[in-house]
Amino acid sequence: MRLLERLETDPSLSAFSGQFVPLKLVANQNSEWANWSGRYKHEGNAIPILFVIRADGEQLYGKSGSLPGDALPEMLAATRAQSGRSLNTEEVELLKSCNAAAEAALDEENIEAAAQALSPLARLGTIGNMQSYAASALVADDLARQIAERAASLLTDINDRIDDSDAAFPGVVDLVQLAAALADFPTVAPRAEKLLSELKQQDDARQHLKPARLLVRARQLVATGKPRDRRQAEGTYASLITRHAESPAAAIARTELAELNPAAEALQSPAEEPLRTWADASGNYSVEARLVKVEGGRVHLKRADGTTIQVPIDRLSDVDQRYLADRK
Amino acid sequence: MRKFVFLMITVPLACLATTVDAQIRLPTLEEAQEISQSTGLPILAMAGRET
Repeated sequence: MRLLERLETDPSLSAFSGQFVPLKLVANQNSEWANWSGRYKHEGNAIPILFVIRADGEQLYGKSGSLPGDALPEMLAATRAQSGRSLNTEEVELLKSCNAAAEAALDEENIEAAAQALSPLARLGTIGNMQSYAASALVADDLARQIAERAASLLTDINDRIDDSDAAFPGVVDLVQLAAALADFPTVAPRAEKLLSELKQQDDARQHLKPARLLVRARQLVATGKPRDRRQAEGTYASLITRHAESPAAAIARTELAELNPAAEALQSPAEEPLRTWADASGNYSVEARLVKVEGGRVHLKRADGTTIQVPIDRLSDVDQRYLADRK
Repeated sequence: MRKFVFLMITVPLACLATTVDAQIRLPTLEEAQEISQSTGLPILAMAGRET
């Protein structure tokens, strides 16, 4: 076949070396040709017939004739331009391992883990649009689409939870975590960032943002498993315990730090009680203070300015008496 | 020796280099499709008469 010879020896085609998978077909009564010509059409009946088939099976070219002179390199350039990027072995392996991890996380409905599993693909291109027709790249694009769809709905749920003041802090943590996991997903990352920006405008939720970011940072450091990152995580947890004692993050940080390093210095001091509103049974008097201790039928409270007061327990509101009873 | 080997370097050698009498053979249809799907490279198919 003269065309085959030209493909092997014509220096004007050297730019296309490594750009196509060559395939020689015998156009006669054999079943291989019957299947091929049943699927892919061509113009003209002369021999040879040239075909270019994209990796996803889409036909880009099919005509009789060997395309003399510049016509062949021109056709090869035009079809290659429509074929997307090709992948080396290392890239294929990365795609396959990321896809497998993302699929497993999606099966468990863990959208954040699924997004994190695909994140390493940002090294290869845009997540959700790998611009390749390789099977693993198409699977990755489809997984990214599924993750983005489910994440968008999850963001709405989280936003609703943040509006509920009782669940605001866990909601803010979830939002910060999900936003971090989605950072490389161009279709949904802006929505997560927008919600975070909106939080800064909300008085109730804004106070949770910094401790939530620190908590998520500490968790990310722990997750790397590196000793240096674990030490840094300890410092971040300690900072939450000492500098954000008012935040629900402090108690969470204590628990997580205790798992990381039970001997950590920050755990040696007792946990400070949260600042809360205490009211008397009549409802006429109230004070913002922390519980210090209960002794001799009286509750000892410390105001934010450091002054302390004592109140007989039976003078407290029902809610406060129940609060104390629940803590026993 | 060929000036450059178009067929040889199109795909990972392991897939192609069945060396029979030091010749590099072309992939079969099944092999070509598998390589194309894996690497994202398009297939350039040439249909001719049996030689």
